Amino acid sequence: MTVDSVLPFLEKAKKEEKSLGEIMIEHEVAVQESSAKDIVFAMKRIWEVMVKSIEEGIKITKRSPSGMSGGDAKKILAKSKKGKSLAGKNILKVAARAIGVAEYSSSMGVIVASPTAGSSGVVPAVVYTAAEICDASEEAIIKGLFASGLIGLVCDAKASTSGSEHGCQAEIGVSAAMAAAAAVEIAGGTAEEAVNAAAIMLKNSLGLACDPVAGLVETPCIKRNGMMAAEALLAADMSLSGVKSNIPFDEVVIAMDDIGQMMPCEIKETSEGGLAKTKTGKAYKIRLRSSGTRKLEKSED
Amino acid sequence: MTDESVFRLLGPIMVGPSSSHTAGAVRIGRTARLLYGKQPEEVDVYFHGSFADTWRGHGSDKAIIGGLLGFKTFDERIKEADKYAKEAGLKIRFKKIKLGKRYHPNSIKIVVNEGKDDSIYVIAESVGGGDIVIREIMGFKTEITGSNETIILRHGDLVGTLSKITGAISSFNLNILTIRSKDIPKKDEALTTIEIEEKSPKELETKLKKIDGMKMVRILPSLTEGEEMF
Repeated sequence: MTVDSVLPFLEKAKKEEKSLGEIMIEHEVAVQESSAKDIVFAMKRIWEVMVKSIEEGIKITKRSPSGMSGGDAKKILAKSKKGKSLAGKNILKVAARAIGVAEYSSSMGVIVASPTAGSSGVVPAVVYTAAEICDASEEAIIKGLFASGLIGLVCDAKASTSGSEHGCQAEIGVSAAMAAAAAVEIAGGTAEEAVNAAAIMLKNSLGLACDPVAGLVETPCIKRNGMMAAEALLAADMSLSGVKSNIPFDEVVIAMDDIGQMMPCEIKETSEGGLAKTKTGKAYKIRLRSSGTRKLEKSED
Repeated sequence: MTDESVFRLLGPIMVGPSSSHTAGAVRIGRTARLLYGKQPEEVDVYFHGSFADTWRGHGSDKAIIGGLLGFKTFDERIKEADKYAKEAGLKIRFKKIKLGKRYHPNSIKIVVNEGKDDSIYVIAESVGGGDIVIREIMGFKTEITGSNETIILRHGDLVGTLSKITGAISSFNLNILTIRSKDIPKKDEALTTIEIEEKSPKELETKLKKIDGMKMVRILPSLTEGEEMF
């Protein structure tokens, strides 16, 4: 049985007066035929790695071999601590954390694919920041992560979570929708509000191209993690304020699948279109070839 | 892992930046190590397609070395793989190759001990999300995903060998999922690959080695073993 709709979970949550996170822990216990204790322990391990990736990411100062990334998280975080901010301190913090994780991943740090490595900054940053704002317990954080799982599962079953199949909407869009649901759970919202936040978020990511410069998970991926983390917090707040998505979540996922199938392969991770094909994008590709000490030898075959 | 688990979406824990070009490359390197059966010392790595273009930015070279040293996809040592390679006495050369259009754009060929008697080679594809498919082992076409334990055997082309092999496997009550056997071109040998459902006991390896004409027995554990949450 695949998880291809949020509806049975929403019904169960409503009937049993439970949060989405609680329902998803019960779901995972059934799937793994394991105890709630073991399931929660596994998620705590995931969370530990996420926290470490944030802490390491915001310290990075070194630029990557391509020269396209490194040190931006630190800059943004510094701005959140000093002087005026147009977007607000929490927005700067969440963006810095998401970009930090993405930079850490880019420098071969250990991260949690959520759902992919390229989109690995959004869920940790949003959960971390939402928990900070709400002064939430670790228990609430773990429930938030479980709640995010339902959103990812439905996207994966009904569409895709791969940029090469459905463009970046399927990677960063899904991660931001997952994060929005987690933030609502952490803020004490209902299952319905969590899924509604995910719907609002995912709608705003539809059609995103996957056009990485030089084929690397850096431009536009790293900054996009920060932008989408900020949006995910906003989607959560919108949902908690009572704003409703006119299109229900399950149908937004179908729309993502529809759009994904219409997108040309040039903007599906092949680096044959969009930003990868710009003058500067091509120059980065050439520059990367001559960096580093190891060179590829010519093969006679 | 089952399709319905949230840990498919929150995981794996891995060294970045790319599930296909980093995590997948670790698993391809580890496959070559498992096939060779011990720590390889001389290795030639051939990058095909997008690996040839993007290996540097994705750290695919370090990932392959990490795999050849037996590291898992979440091992922090991968970042400094060159240092650990030196300690292990692993000499490695990286080359660019055009394998041809038949091969997946994310393919890698690894040759261990080129030109020596115990040389082995493997061609594998990284198909996304860290998943790989082993396409070729020493000229022999395969379709091993590593999601199950796989037994790889090189043996003399004798009548009845295959039934002895399957007999040995079923004597331990193990379920065979797939079995493929074919002559190795230009050699009086065959290569047989068998995917089994359960984890095999150590005694199976001993029993398989005793079969007449058996030249190589390798048991590849599931490639994701220890890398998933459940």
